Amino acid sequence: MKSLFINKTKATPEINFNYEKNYLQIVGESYPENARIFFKDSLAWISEYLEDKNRNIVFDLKITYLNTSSSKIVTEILEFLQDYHNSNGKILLNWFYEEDDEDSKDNGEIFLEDHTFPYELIPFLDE
Amino acid sequence: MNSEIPIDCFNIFTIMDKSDVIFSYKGPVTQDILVAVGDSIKEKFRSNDVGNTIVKKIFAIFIEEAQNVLKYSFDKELQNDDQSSGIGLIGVGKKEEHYYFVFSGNVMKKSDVEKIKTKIDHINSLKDDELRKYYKESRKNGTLTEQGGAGLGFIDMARKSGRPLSYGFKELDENRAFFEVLIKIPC
Repeated sequence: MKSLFINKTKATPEINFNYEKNYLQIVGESYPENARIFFKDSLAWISEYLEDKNRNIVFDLKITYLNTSSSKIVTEILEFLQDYHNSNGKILLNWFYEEDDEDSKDNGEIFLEDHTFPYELIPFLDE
Repeated sequence: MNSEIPIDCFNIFTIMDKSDVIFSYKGPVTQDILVAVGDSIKEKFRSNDVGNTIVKKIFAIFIEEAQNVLKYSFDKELQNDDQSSGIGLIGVGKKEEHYYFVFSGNVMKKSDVEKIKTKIDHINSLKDDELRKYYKESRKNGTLTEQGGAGLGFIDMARKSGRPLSYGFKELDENRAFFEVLIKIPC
């Protein structure tokens, strides 16, 4: 298995899945026309990667805007992480939210509140 | 002195001006166009010292409305890459110091009118905590359509705005209706 790196564009985030370091990162804004197409390789990668339950993963999600199409994909990623955790896999998810956007923290909580894997909500300032 | 021009620019300008429109676009809404316009919306409001929370709400609602037109408008134009983009009207404005608004309009199939009406009326009837719950359930249980639609657009717009979502339909003929929606974001 190889690491996966995709450069960011205006409407799609940077994908940085580092296989050797067990460090996964998605950074940027996400509003492609069809998120299923954009995230196809990323979802396939994560699915294969999480088959090994003996990893110790850090996953940083620093997404400053998600359209509804992308929000569905992020929901699926979190479900993958939940399954991995349920099988005793080690994971820490850092969800970064924008300190100066009043909706941003609640939005993170809506995504995370029903999950039981370890996660942190971390404020940051964009740019 | 006046030479005849075949469209009424003055009338178009006056209607937009009277309606407090800051910016509006009519035509095929491609992904490239909405990215470019979305960008300038962000820049414009940021340079006017509008707070980040409001800028992000305007931007998010603009993108959702534009992608609705792109995906669901009945009038389509074929693009170079063999994909088609919906034709419609999108724009933003500001009503004095009360609220910003994001609007869109496009032709749709008349047979879809009832479905959309029911959905928006339901969203408008919900209290904040009910809307939060409805959003969460819909995001969890919904599936993406082939076009990448999550069925969450109006719910998400409602979460980010002042409700109710204003909308209207105008019947064009037995098959088509014009759908318009306007979302207010309190200043």
